[in-house]
Amino acid sequence: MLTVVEQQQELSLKNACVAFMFAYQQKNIDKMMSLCNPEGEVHFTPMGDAGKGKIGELGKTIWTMLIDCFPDIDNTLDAAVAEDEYTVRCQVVIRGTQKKDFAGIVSKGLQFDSDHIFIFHLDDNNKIDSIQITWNHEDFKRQLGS
Amino acid sequence: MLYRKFSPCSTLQPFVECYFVWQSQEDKALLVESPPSGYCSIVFNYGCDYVVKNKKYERLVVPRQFAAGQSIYSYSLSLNGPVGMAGIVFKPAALATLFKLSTFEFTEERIDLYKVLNPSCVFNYRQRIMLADSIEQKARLLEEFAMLQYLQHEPQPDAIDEAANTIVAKNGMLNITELMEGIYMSRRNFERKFFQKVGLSPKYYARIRRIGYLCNMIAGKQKADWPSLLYECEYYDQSHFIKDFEEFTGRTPQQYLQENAELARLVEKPKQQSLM
Repeated sequence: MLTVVEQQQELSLKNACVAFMFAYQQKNIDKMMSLCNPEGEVHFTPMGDAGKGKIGELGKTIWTMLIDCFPDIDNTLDAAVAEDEYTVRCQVVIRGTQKKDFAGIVSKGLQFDSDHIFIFHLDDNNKIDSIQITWNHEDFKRQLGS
Repeated sequence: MLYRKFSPCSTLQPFVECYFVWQSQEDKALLVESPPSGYCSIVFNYGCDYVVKNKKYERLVVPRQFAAGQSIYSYSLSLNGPVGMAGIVFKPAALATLFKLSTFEFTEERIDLYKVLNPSCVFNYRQRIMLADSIEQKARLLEEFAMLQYLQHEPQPDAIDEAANTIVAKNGMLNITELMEGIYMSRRNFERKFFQKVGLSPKYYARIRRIGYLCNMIAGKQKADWPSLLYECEYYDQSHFIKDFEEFTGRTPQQYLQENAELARLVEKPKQQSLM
């Protein structure tokens, strides 16, 4: 059970996560990274072990590739809920039009629109030190014609 | 058990949906469930302590005075003694407009008012509401409390307040393109500002509001004419409806009818009264 004091600690958590999603919407990778510990872990869950790495390395590379391959990529943050005093769950809809091949998916110029869950973990300084991202990858590939 | 609702004065109508007072002297256990309503609130509890259970909390002891943001999921309140609550039900963007609070921080939370507003002011109103002789007097104090905030900030409802209030008025039955007619900002900017002031995206908020409206229509009933309700609530098909219903209430529609313990099962649905 959470106490009221613990609730208060959670309140400031959401700011970094919401700012991260807004920076992603603006395709501002530097801003996204400034909110994170680059040594922290990112896991793009549907990609298995290949989707695990450091935020400042794998994370930065994949988000840069996504922005390059889907130049109109956009997101809508539906909700951000603090799960505990260090964890925030963001429900996000991401959409975009494919212009280049991405992660083995050949570009057919199709669009995707996909619900994503971002689970952010933050350290004591409110820096994001872990991100777990989940989406329906089969449906994502289907929408892109793969 | 007594549950009464009061209308706000015209100045506060853009921000306040209603005031309520809920009282009971009965010293027995009570379970009250509620779907997400689409409103925010400030509540002063002068009765027994109680706990809330929702998707996040198994058993959270609710602060004696709190501000609540948007609920995404159904929740239940467990009370174990005399009930005494007086609260302000706010329009969806009003915590931000009237109190300058970042509403997204309050989504699925009940935050102690002492942490977010002037503690001496909160204490003053909490005591006066507790000691007020009549239900009407408690409601007047709630209005005075809201008016105090209004006079401090002199807020004007902006395009986000109006858009959110339109979603409420249309019970979530509109699309975002329709909603943005006459709003001169990009969709991206609109969604961002809406999130900051309401705590959810406009589309997601509209889905919640629609379910809240539908649940209100079936509150206290044992049977429902589902095809008519789906038609009235403009659901595209049954599977969309069931998906939304289960996501936000945690139950199938039929389970909800059979099991839900809304306040409407305990008290007659109150008519909103004027404070004049």
